[in-house]
Amino acid sequence: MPKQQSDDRIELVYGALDVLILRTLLWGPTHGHGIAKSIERMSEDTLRVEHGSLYPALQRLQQEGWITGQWGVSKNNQRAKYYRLTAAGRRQLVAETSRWERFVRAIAGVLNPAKSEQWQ
Amino acid sequence: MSWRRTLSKVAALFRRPTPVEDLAEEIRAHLEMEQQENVESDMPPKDAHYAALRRFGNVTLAEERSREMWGWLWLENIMQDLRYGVPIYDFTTFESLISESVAQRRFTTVLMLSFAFVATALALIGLFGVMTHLVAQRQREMAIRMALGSTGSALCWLVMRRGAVLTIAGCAIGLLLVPQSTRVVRGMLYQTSAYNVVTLGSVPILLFVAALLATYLPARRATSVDPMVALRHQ
Repeated sequence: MPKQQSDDRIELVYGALDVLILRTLLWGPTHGHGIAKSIERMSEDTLRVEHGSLYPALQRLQQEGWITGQWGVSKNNQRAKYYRLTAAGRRQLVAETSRWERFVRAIAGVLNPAKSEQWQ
Repeated sequence: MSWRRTLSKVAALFRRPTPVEDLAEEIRAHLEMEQQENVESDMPPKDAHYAALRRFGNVTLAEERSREMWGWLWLENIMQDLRYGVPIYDFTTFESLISESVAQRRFTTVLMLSFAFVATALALIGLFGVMTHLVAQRQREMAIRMALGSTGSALCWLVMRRGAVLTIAGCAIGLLLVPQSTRVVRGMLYQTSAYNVVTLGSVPILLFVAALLATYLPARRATSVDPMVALRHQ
């Protein structure tokens, strides 16, 4: 897997990391490393996530009650803290997803008016 | 910040251990997984380790940020103090605390020291006065001795010898009394002994010098004048 630091990677917008984590956990409980890998894989390595920045976000999501953490053992027999989406987290994910879709549509509309009208 | 977050922050304050207690372990596990994955993609173990660290970013910063999420630092500190039941009031420096604890002793010591100085000075002045008086009393005798052919220096030696003998005898008696008399102050002595050689030596020497001066000066005056004048004086 190539690990070069290509410059066409995009820094995350504030607040985007939270919804990406929630989305990742929709697949099932996983640990911090798994979340980081999932985000990279799903965005096809476009999004630049510094792994360390995941942890403050995980604390924030726990405080909101959207995820819960519990220690478990990975398939490689390693101890890791597994995060699980709660019911409130699911609701939050739905709300956030539609908010982000509107956001993306709005940005696209401003940047390229003709095309966006075509889509609608 | 939503009310839920505020609430969980408050709850975290009372909870022991706090939710981020195991954060270091969690991050270590994360780094190990990343390293392992790098090794599996044919990276030398050492490079794999550093690549994982690079990918993670600043570990300390991540820990700190996560910890900060759980509370208000100042409130955390106050809660910790409350938990350990240590009320903090009456701030003072350690230095002044020590200084306060020894204030009484210091006062007594300074007082004793000044008394000792005054006593030594009085002893010197008194000795000087007595010796001068003794010599002055023998002025007529010295004039007669001069008239009978004694020399000035011989007379000086006579009275000074007497003064010296008296002073040495006094100092000897004083030194003999040292073991008994220092008992009172021994408890107040610090970093010195009751038998301090410098003190026990310098005071007799001072007294001795004072006695010699007190006898020499009037004796010289008495022998330097004409014997007839001295005899007629009284």
